[in-house]
Amino acid sequence: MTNVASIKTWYSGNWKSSNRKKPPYNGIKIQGTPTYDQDNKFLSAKVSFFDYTYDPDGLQSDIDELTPEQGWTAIPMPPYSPPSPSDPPNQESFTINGHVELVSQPSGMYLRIRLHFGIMAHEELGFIMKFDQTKKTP
Amino acid sequence: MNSIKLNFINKSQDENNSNIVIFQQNVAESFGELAIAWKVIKNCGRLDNHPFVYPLQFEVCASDSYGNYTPQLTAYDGQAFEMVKDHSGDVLMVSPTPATSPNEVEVRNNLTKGAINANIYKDGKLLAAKTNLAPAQKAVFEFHPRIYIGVVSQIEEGDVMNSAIISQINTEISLYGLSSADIVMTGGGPGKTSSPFQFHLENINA
Repeated sequence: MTNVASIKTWYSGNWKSSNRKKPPYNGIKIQGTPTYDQDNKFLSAKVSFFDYTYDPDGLQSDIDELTPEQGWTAIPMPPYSPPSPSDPPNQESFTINGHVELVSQPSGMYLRIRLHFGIMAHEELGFIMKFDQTKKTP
Repeated sequence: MNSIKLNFINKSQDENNSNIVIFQQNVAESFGELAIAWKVIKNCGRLDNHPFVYPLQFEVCASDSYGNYTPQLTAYDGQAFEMVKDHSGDVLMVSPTPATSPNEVEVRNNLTKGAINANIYKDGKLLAAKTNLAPAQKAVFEFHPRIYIGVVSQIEEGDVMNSAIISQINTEISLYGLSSADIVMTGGGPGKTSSPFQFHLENINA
């Protein structure tokens, strides 16, 4: 049996509180949701990537179960969906390209990124969020 | 932890003795805010390294319309400072009223007349500034835990970086959770084999 904890969210440095009127509509957003076992020990995290560069509603791709043992893991493309005649395929509009990994440190389990995104291939490096190694219970 | 230990390592093929600039952006200010070159690494040859620290605290100072500069005062997120006139003249002091946001540092012009400039520093180097604050106005400084790094020619620490320079700098390093890390630069080189400069994090510790 597993249990999940609250979602953590990180925004890229060029994130704006409201979208621009033309591409790049906004930056990117990454959400992490940790999963714990019945003893409240960290198991994995679901990591979701949202790219607003060409889509004001955001294009989403997910890594459903990222574990520390996997090391650097490629960020997947979003699932293909047939475009409308006026829109490019969503996979062409998804600009995030890179890897993520979970790094276990004494102070917690850190999500680390090395990726590019956006029209100018903006690069982001480093830890972006931390999960508790043991889930805090109320 | 009072500071983050960073270590720049030049593993590039650069033969132009390029300068490396590091800066932050004040996210508390709206559109049009200019960034300042916080740190410029010069003459760091191939395989040289350049250790430096990123303190978590700031220093603030103000200058008045008479050209007087106050001492730099240590500042932490959530603190506010005010420029007031006392018996000795214009002085900067910690305000009893904290900043509006716990993530911001404020410098208020509480003089009855005369504009001031508010400067904020990290590790003794200018990080951001707000000029011509009229009486009753304030400067608000907020920095996310991230630095921007890139290769720029002819820039000095403390220089204002215009949007053309900033647009050349494409790498952002999150300092969240970091206690130490190496920032490794690769790429560059002469002629047709030259590749873009790239930055990587190594020996990263939380």
